[in-house]
Amino acid sequence: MEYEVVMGLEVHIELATNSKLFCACSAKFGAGPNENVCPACAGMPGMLPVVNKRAIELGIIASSLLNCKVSDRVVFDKKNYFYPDLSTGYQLTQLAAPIGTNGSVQIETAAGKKTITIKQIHIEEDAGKLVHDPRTGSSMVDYNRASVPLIEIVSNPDFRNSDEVIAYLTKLQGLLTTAGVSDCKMQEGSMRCDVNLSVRKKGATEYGVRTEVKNMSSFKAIARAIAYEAERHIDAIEHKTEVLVQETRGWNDEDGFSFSMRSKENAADYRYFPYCDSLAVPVPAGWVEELKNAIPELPEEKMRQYLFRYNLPPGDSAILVGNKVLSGYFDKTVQVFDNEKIEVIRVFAREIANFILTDLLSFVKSEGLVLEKLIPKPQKLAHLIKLYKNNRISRVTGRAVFLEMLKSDVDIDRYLTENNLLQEADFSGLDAIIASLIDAHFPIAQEFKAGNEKVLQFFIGRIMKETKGKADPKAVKQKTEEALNGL
Amino acid sequence: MIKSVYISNDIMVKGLPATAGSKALAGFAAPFSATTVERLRAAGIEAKHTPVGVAGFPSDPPAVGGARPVCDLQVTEFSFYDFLDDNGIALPQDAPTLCNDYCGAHKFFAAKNRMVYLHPTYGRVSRFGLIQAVSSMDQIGIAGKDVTQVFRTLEIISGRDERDIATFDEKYKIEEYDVAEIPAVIGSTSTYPFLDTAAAVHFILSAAEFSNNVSRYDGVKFGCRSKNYKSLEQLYLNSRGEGFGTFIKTAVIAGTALLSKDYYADYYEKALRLRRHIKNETESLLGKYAVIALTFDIHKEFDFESAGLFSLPALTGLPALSLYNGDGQGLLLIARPRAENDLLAMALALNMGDGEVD
Ligand SMILES: [Zn+2]
Repeated sequence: MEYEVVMGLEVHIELATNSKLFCACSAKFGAGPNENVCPACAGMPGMLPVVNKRAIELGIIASSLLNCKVSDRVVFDKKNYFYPDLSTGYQLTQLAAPIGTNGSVQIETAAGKKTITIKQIHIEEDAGKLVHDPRTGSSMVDYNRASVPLIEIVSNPDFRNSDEVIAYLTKLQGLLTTAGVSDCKMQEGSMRCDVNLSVRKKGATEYGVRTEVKNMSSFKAIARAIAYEAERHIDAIEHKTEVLVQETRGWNDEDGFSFSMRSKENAADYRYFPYCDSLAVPVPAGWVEELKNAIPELPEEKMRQYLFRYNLPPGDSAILVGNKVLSGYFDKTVQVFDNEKIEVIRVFAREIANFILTDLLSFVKSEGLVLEKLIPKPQKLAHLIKLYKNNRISRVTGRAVFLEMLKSDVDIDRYLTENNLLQEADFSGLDAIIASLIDAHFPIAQEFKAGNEKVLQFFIGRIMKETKGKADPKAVKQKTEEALNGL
Repeated sequence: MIKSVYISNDIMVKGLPATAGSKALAGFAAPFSATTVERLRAAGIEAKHTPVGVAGFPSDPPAVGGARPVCDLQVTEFSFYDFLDDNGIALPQDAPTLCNDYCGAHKFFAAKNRMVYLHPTYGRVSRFGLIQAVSSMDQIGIAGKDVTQVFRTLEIISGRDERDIATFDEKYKIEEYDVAEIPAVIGSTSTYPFLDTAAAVHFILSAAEFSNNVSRYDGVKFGCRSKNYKSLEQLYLNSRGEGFGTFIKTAVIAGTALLSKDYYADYYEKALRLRRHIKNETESLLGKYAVIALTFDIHKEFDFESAGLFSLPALTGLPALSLYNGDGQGLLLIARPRAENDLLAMALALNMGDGEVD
């Protein structure tokens, strides 16, 4: 029997504001416990929420980017739940009138293009964090994150496999980081994803029992959690291994399993109700238009190409796309490899991005020169990277030459020869040199078999010295290891 | 000249106990001062706590630090009945008092004691530093013996406050004019059709908002913590059980139920719609008349009808003044938004300035 996995995503994104959603405290990540706390976010009585306009603007920008209809007013609802990380006993969120509704986003996977539809985007405040100390058995609460602004992007159940999920999340990262809505860092929790998953027989129109999985902190963990849950559901249907119930499950990535957190019967009744009208902020069409116009140009196509054709990391892609000079230089350099297979192009693309984003940018920063003026010809960078990938030069040499190229129009090959920087993969006489050095230090060589691994490093050092650094270090290591093992 | 103003204990004065009359907040010292208190002080006026009697959350057992329970509420078929002891609310006579009359009883007892209670337009006075009870109805009002002093106090405390986004820019300024300049005024309680409805709507909305606003009093961060607990859950339950009086327990239980999935649509949502209806109807009456005057018997107990009558200013956010009109009759005046001066003209015309005795 063939099965189909059906998934919808709830993605929480922390907004890149300076201050919190309802008070003036800093919203920055990484402060000491309770450093960014005032009477308002600590839930002291007598305080009133004052909405952060920038958070609303970022909510509007996100809604526009994901093609949502933007609400004509911002109102909040109170969501009641009693938990120590919630200082007031309720969370301000948007239930009745989310900032954005009915959006869509295009994704692309190996299987082709697809449109994912967005149900809604709403603005809400984050909760604090509990820190448990197992030694003393005590728990502490840190309200730094309390009232930090979030948006929750709720998709419809349009996903059928984890490739689509990852492509969607990558796309969100690209769009939202480029537009400055969020830094979308999963490891710091500024992007969190809950997956609602059910399984049904292929062709069926009814949905199966749905479970929600949370607590995944990387794309890989999300893919693993999806694979695990899908299999658990299919096993339950096929082999009656268990009775599926609608519930929320946590994900243990270390040991690779999901576990029940709470079932639907125990689901909290959040007793939502509208917060007083005094908090309603009108959103005139002109404001939305103004914000839309101020969004930095998002070369959609380019971002897609960097992410999916070249497999560049989202952060790198965003920096390149955000700077026309850098992306232009990258494009021209990668074009040199156009006739290669896609796998080869990807390897080179990654290196080109590395050279541009680490060496070139740090040079520009330290030298304070104008980027447009000092860039060497793309063909030359391509040539340099080829030499490096073919093990003719080390990365260190590559960097040194590139810096040289940034200063003057050097001839790469001549420069390498003159400075004696080329490595030779088939360094003639390498075997002989290894043999003679082992002979010369035979007692030391014998210690290798006895388990002293430092011996290998000792010989590699000697050999590199003897070959004046021109031998390929990988070949040296491999051959020396073979020789020592063969004693 | 106003030398001093009393501040009820649900309005924060930095460093002083802010208990709202509840044991749940025993020992809690205000970490900052309310905007109203800051403004009084900036005008050279002494802001001091009321001696006893004017509490934010009526509570039994009495709060540490003074205020005794003044207004306990019972539920009978989803309505609040305020039941008060014989003295009712003892408002100080010698200076104006700032307090939050979301339940309406202050208005009744002000008139009974030959005083006035001014309920300003919603947004006229900053609520920053007022311990929230019923957020959508909370409003700092002024009780006093001398009607001019009461309106003078409003001049000082009114105006825009960045920390309360409901406040509007326009500061209140006394303008005295003859009552003849005010257009028609309509009659008595019996002509006003929504009082029963208003009482029920007021109960439902205020219980719901109350249950939400007091959920932060868990005995952990501040206020009363029970000595009797072995687990975290017991700490929560016993602290709340010992800290809250009947009034709050009633509101928490009723409000929680009314907001639950089972009752939300039938009660809370309906109440919100009715509240809008009452507001619209009242405002359309005010289209014809500048002031609506509703009479009440000051010798009657504070009952269901009273609850409906006195909830009108809180439900509609309209400015209102309650006063004594002689012959055992009180008068609740409701005016158009921001038209507090119409109330003043009416009060002066009724000789309220003299402190007339029945
Ligand atoms: Zn804060």
